[in-house]
Amino acid sequence: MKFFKNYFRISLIVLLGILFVQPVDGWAQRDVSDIKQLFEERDREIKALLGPKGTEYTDEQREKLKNIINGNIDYGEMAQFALGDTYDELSADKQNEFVDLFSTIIRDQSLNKLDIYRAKVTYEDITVEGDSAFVSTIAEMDKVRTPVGYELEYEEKNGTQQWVVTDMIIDDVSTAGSYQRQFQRIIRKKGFDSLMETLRKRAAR
Amino acid sequence: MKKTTFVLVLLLFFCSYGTFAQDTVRVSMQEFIERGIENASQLDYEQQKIHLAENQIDQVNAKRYLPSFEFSTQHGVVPGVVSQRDDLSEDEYYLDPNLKNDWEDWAVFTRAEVSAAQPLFTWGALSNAVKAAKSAAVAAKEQFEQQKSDLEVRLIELYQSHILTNEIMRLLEEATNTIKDIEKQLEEKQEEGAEDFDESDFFKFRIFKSEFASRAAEVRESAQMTRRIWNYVLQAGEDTLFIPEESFLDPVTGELREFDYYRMNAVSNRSEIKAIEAGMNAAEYGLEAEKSRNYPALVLGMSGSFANTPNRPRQSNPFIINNANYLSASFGLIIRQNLDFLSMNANVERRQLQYRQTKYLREAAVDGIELELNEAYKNASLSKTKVENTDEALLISKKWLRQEQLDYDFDIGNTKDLIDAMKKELELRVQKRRDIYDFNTDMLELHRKSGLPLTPIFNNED
Repeated sequence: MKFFKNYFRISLIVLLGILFVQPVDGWAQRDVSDIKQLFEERDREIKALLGPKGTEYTDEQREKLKNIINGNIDYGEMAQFALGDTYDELSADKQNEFVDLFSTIIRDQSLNKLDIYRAKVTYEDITVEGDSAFVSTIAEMDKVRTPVGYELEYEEKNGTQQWVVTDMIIDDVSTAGSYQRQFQRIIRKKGFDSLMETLRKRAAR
Repeated sequence: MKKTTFVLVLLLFFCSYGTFAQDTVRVSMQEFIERGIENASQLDYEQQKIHLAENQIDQVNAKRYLPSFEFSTQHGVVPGVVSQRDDLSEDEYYLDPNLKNDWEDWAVFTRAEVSAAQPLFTWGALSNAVKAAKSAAVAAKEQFEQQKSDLEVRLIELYQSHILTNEIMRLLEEATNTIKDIEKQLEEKQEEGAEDFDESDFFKFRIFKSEFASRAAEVRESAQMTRRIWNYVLQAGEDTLFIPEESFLDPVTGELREFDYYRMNAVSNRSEIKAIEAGMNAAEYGLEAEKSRNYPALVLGMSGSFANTPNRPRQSNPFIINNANYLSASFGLIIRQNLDFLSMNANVERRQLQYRQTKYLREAAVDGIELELNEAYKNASLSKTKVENTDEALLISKKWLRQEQLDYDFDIGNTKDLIDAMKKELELRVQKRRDIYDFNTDMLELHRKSGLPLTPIFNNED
């Protein structure tokens, strides 16, 4: 089932989107043009790190890429949404373990196909409403267009107020929503422990 | 010898490479339309009809000024005259009844005559004839516009079909690779004797693969045909490959308005209606011109005549006209009346019939347009709904596929479900492209039938 796994990984990388950025000071700004500028700057940063096609990367470079790509995702928020009401019923330790496993899986998968990050990104629309924002982009590569949307929340992370990604809508499908459907199905059929076991196996790969 | 053969083979290789090298030229929709129209012989033919109609105006106009203006000369050799009477001078020869030809004296005889007629008042016959010719020219121009719009529709459809073909080809290429990978994985599972391997699923998959191959072949043939038609329309040489500038087939941005909006535009803008209305005007002016012929026309007439023969003396008596030597001129008013009233009445009646015929033709055209518009509006509405429904189905299939992918990644998935989800998603992706193409061409047809501009709907200008 290597193909299906690869297929999934490729899809997930698309799911993760083209631009995930580190939580730096710039992300604290709340203006539309500033959000766009920050996305563009991080896109350039990722592309500069990637270099031309066929580039070989050291472990250090891969880790750096992983950090830039996944840096500003609010895994806690996404994991909580995916687990629904069950999350509130868990102990703090269980909650932490769940968030760790969830983030490990996503981070590991993000580097499976780096070519995806070379796609040309066009910003269609950016809307800001209070502490929420939505960035709508089109990623284009090899004459294939993929709409990628980012839901952002302006909240405290690592001691500073900043924009964090709470969901990615890739090719019109919500990432958090997909995980929610899958997790709820597993919980409904086999229970929460079975879900945790599945996640542990997956994260250990 | 071997070295020579090697060089020859190398040369042949480079020669053949040069022969098949093609320049790829990206063409925008506007450029494609312009080049298509430029190369269309049918429009050249229609253009000549306009020139003929304009020539008719010139002809009718020319009849208003000196419609009859003639000049003629006659030349010959004639003998002189000789008189036996000594008491008569040369300018009195007409008094000699025995005057004879002098066969020994020959000279050149020259006579010139000029005549002209200028209509002064014709009861509007000439001005109405000019107006009728002008209206006929307007009708010819509108008919040309109609042909041009029809051609534009065909060219835009052709342009859109090329983008559609390219999009489907890309999807097929992607799907072909996916199918190959799936088959490889299934074969590996079969060899490994995996627990979750289902032989019947594998059979179904292979049938799907064969069916897919047939459909892919159809699309490739269709792509070849589209390219050949493009080359023909653009009159492209073998060294140039023309491709559309746009890579993606997007739905037209203009919204579908109320039916009345299109109907109102159709009645006031359609070239067919404008051509018929111009024809009605032409028939009306023609009728007026025909009626005017029942009344007498006032014409100014002019004529002049001159003859000269050196060996025949001019006679001084003004009552004596010597055809060989004279000068005369006259002008005056003429009243002309055609007395063939029966024929004239029949002509007026024919003109009246023609006028009524064009009136009924307009009514029939409006009825026809109403039916055409209803059909075009229905098609556009339906194809719009199809795009929306397919879009919704595609979104569901994407969610389904994402679900199956997640299941597989977490080792809780099922091969059959994943393949089914992939098949359905691919089908719907292709279907969506086709639905967009149908919607675009139906909107195009609706705009054509409404007499609205065609290209703005593709340029976000509607």
